[in-house]
Amino acid sequence: MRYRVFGCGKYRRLSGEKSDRALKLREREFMAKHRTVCDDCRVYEAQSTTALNMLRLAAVQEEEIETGLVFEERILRRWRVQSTRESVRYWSPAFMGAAIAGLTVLAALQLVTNRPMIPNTSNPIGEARLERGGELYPEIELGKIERMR
Amino acid sequence: MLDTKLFSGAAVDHAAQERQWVARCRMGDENALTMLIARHRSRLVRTASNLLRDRHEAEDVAQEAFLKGFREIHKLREDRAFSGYLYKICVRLCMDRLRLKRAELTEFDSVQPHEGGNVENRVVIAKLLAQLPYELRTTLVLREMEQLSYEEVADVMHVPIGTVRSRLHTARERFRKLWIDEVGE
Repeated sequence: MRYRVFGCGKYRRLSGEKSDRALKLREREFMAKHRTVCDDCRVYEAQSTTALNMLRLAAVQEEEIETGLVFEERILRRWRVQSTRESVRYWSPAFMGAAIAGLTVLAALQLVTNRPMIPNTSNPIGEARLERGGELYPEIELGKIERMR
Repeated sequence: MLDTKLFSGAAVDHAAQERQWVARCRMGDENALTMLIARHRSRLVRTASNLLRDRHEAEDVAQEAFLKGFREIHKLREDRAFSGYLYKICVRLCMDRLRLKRAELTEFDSVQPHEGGNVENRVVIAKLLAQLPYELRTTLVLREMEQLSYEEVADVMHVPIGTVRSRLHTARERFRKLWIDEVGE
């Protein structure tokens, strides 16, 4: 008949810690004593050790990693793309600003140089009269004006 | 004694060389980049393979880790810390992937075992690890497979040492139960 002995919790905790640190003499003695009287804990420890050993055995080793240039090349290619993208992202606000400023200057120059003008050579067509409130200005009779001497 | 001196001298050279590469890498030197990749590649792929149990995914993660590391290399305060910095990025990326995978069902018939070693054991271990929550799984793998100390695991996972200790205890216990169920079948 199997029965649980006082101190199983402590034993299991220590059996886990034993791989992480050096146990004190008192702890080692406790474990040795407990092991002799508790079958469950003995089985538990054996199972834990086996399971963890299998886990460690399944670890991939560095020697198994294949070495090839494809890996490096792929990273370098992605690195170049990333750098280009970052520099575009970095400079794009400056480019946008410069483009807007350039367009503004061009538009201003266009307005200044293409101002609507009447060429000097052209003659007015028709009769031009100055009116004030529908009333015509009196015609100036040049013959009646005395000559200024 | 002489061997020790030689060894320590080689280690110093190694570290100095790496610092130089990191400095050159900051200036965009692709040769330095290639050197750093060649030096850290195996370690990153190995760690990612142990965590993810999938070689192709591990290579993807390692590449991402390198790219992220190089992109943020200017944030690094000390050039000599590059190795640990890269390792942390890799583990974090693996944890992200495991978190996303959590809800997904893994089909173990399609799992490609790693070449060499005990193939059957590796498939079984991959199956068992997939049943653990990603925090426990990462803690267990970093401690048992990668042989990191508690402090290193805590540093990489950004959790206190007490949390690592308790997670490790729980992970070992759960893994043992899963192992017994699997072997007993």
